[in-house]
Amino acid sequence: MDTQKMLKKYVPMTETAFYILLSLTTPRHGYGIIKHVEDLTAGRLILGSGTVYGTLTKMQKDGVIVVFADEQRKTVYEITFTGKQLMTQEIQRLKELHQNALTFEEDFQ
Amino acid sequence: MKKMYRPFWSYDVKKTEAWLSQMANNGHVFEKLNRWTHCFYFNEGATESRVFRIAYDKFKSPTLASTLQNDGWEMAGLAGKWQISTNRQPEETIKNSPTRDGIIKHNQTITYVFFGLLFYLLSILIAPISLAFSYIFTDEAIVVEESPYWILTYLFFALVIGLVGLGIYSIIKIAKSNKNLRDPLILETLPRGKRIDKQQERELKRSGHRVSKIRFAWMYSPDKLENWLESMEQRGFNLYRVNQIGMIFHFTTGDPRRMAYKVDYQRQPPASYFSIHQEAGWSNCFNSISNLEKWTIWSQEYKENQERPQFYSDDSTRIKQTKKMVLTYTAFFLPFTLLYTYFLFNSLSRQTGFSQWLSWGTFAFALCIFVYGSLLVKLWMYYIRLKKLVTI
Repeated sequence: MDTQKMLKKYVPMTETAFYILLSLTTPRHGYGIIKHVEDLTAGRLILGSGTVYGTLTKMQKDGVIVVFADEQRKTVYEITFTGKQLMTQEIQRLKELHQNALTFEEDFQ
Repeated sequence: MKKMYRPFWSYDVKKTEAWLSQMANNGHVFEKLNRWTHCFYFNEGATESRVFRIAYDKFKSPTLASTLQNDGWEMAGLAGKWQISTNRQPEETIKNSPTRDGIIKHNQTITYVFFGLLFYLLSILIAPISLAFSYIFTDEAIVVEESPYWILTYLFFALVIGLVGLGIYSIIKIAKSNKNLRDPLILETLPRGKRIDKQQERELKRSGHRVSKIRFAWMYSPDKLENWLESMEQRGFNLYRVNQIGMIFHFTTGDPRRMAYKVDYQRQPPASYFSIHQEAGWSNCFNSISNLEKWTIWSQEYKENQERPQFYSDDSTRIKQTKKMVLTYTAFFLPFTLLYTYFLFNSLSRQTGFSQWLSWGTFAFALCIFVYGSLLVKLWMYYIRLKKLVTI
């Protein structure tokens, strides 16, 4: 998998993509992702099931995630090595963003 | 190395998997698969009990999910997009396994190709068959011209009959195996409590509490159908059934409801497509029969103090899905429109008198152009409306 190409395509991430990947610290079902993101953001971000399905399908195509079937033969999504690399890069970027936001926050008040 | 030929192994993968396990039990360890010659190769080894799982992955993910690896799965062989994985654990203890979705989809595609082929063969065979029949019934003496080239005709017919046989065999075999592979899909068209049986439906009709409306060609402007259904609900017309081909919408007259409707287009969606929406609270009101171009109507009720449920919570996935649909249908309708326009101009330029212009041929061509053209206009108007809605 061409990681450089994926980095260009995915970083910076949309909020939707970021939270979907962030909830894959453990493998989850599609609806499990929606619930988890809702919990993480305290109900601020409620992802639509069409958006989640569409994004997951695209990510699977790009090799960012892989799927398997669990005991109930339901589809479970798992992040790949490429996906983890993308997240590391994105988190680095967000840290810088966060740092700068804190530094200059007061100047805007 | 032992070589085994298995011509239609992919039509029934469960059977092939069982066969591979059986081979391992007899001390033949699966080595590789040649998908062009349909041959499986085995090494001699110790007898082992092994579970096999065949998967087809369009996305070519070269590694197994790590959860699967932790469950004891390892890749036994790759052949193109086919993946054969194996597990030494006893089958009862294995929790997770490679998904079947890719195989089901691949099988469906093969079925559609064979359907297309059968349709094509049938249409080219109609002429010679009807000719043969008319000879039999008119008692005319048939004069057969002696020629060594007859062998070509016979060969052609043998080929056609062979292809028809293969097509029918494949379609039947795959349909059976796909039914077996697919989970008993929990496709509830409406919540169970609210379903109306035939008897109730007749009573509703008699008492005048049933309203049926016809909507044609709503696929070309899905947003209008959504708005219409939502406004019907607000006026107290509750949708309870859509007929199989999606043309007649049946309502009961009742209380006004706040319902969100979403008309969605997908190409060959797997079972996970339906389960994620159902778990998120959407009910399935209509499902088009063909899986190749799947149209689904989803609905979800919401209360006055609740926010309207979102099917697509961001615009880019929504636009991407719409674009896919609009381009697919354009690729289908545009050639027809252009072809008929060409025919029309061709026939107009050859005819000089005005009366000839008003011939049936001209009329038929113009009608075809109008129908296909208006569908194209509808499609692109829908796309423009959506784009505008999003950028505002």
